[in-house]
Amino acid sequence: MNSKKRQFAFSLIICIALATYSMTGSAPSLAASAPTYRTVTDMAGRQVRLKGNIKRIVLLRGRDVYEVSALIGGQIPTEVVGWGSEIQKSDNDAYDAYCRRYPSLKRIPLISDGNGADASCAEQLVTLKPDLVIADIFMIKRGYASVATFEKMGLPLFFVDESSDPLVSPQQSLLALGNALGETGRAEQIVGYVNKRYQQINNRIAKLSGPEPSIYLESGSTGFRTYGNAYNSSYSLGKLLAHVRVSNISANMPASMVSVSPEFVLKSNPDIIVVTGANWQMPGAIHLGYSANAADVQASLAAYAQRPGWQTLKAARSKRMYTFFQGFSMHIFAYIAYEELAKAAYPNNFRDIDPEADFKKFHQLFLPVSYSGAWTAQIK
Amino acid sequence: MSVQALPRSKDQTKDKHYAKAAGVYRSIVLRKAGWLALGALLLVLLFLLNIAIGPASLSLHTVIDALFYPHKCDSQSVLIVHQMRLPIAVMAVVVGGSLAVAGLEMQTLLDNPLASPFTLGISSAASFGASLAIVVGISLLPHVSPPLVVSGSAFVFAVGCCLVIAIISSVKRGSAHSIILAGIAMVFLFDAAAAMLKYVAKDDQLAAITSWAFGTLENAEFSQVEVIAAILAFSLFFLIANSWKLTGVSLGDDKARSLGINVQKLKFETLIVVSLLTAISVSFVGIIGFVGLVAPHVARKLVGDDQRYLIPATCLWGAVLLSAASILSKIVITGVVIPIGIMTSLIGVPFLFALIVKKN
Repeated sequence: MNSKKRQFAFSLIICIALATYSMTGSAPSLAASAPTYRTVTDMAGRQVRLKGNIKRIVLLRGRDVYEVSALIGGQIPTEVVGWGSEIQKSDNDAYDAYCRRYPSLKRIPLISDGNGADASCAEQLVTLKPDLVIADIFMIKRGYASVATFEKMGLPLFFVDESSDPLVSPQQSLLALGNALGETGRAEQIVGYVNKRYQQINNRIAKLSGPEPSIYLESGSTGFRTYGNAYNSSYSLGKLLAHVRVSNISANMPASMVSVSPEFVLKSNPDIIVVTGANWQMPGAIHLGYSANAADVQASLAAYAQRPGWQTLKAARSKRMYTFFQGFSMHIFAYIAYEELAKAAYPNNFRDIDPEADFKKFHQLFLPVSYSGAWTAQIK
Repeated sequence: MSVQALPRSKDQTKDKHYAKAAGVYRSIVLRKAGWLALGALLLVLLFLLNIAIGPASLSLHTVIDALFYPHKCDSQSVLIVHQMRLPIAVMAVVVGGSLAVAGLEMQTLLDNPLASPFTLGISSAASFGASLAIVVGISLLPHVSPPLVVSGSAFVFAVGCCLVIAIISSVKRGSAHSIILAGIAMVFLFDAAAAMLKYVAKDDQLAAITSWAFGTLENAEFSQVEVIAAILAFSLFFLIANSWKLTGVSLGDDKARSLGINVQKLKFETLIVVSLLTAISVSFVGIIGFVGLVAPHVARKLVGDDQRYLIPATCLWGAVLLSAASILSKIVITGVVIPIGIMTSLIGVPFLFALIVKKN
């Protein structure tokens, strides 16, 4: 009996407590804490179901930190819970710059970038309990098995497309990402700014006439001793060349990226030579980025000008040799490369355009990290 | 009389037989010499063609002027011919010859027609050495020319791999099975180590490792050519001097021993020579496959198993194959030189198929 009485008293207390709880207006807050979901479309055309309030973001491609930080700014250190280790391999200057700005980023896990059906990466991702995993569409295009693994594990995978066409894909991706992150207004503001820059350049290009200057553009990752890849018109920087009214000497190559013969460059004798730079490890490469300095950039460009036979080329003789950051090709600020190319091709028509200053301005307007270093240059 | 006449008639018959045999032998020797001469002629033609062809589309007249009368030519044509085409053409000859001879002797040592210079893991070891230099070595040795660091590291690991195998071979008294098994172990070891390096390599380093492994003559320099040529000359001297013994070994170890050949010593020395030849080639130009497998078979078909002819014929046909591949790599896509390591297989496979079909 005593036991039954005790049970009855306990049940009564619980009921009263619940009734009081509901009457004091706590019930609505209970309902609010249950996650709400919405469906957004990513750049692969997939319908992705995401939490309404995203608090834990993983950047499978660490370099997307530029875009995400442009959208969420100071929330980066609290919301980004993991990033792809490839940022250290491909853009270490950015890794250092962001870690300097937000020291806590050094403590978040660097995850494998999913360059394979990497079980440990999937496991690591799951333990991070992400609300959003941002990946690049190249993982689908190259048939990475890890995509299926991540999807099977229910990870909220959202694909962006940063490099298919530097003229349009970064803007489309930023809008999609803005939608996913609930930052549509901010995304539209940035994309509007970027498109306006393109429009300004294109308006001037449209008025140009006369012969198109010939250009040789090389990815400088190999350093000056070995010829790096050149682009045809179908991919990445080759698409910028196709729109900026120049005659790309490797435009008709059968592969999107291919190392052309040194003889071919000598024979073509281009009016302009561009060799891209980054924080690459290969000796003789041009270091561009947050920690680069202009004097070293000049020395590296001068080494390129001393390649066998290059002293006789028009571009070297007339000092129309340029460099810009390779990473421009895969980010929302690809217009900086476009400006640099337009200025290289038509210096008189774009005299007032200063790509380096424009990149500084982009930092001031949209990025939480400060501009520093060197990102573009012409040989002196 | 009849007693005296009989031996005389026997002698006469013997002489006749000797004369006939000598005639047959002479014709065989002549035929073999003919194939050698043809190989040499073909090599000269392909060598010249390799210098004449290139993306700059220089006329034959300009190429000849640039070669022999540089003062008559513009500086760019001279530069193209002398600094770009000539080192590549000579490199194709010496590397083709080296890899082919190395392949031949590897087939002889291992008594296996499928053996090549890379059977014992030399390419894997060199790849690992080059990768190690690209990922770590270059930054550790900032005052040494980077290409030298890469080639040096590839060479050291290739030779190291060979030494391990040579020691195992010595312990196991030259047993082909032991050598092959040790080689397979080396392939796995260095491939795994190289894969680990690739995993941690940065993007541009990864691209450099991949590009090295393709094998290319594009970065050829005369200083490298001189080193390879010197080692090839020494190797040819050693191998031709031992050609009788090597022919004996190709009959089988037991038969060779019954002929008084110190098989173990010969195999050890030949393995060292072959390793040096392969290691030096691979460290300068990367992995160029198939020449070392196919050229010995082509040469064997033409001049037989006698190593006195087989060694020079293999060297010539190796050089011919690689020169042909070099030309093809320049003309497939205008303006692009496809890595020659890709072209050798494309050229070599039809050769091999033709041989297989003919043999059947």
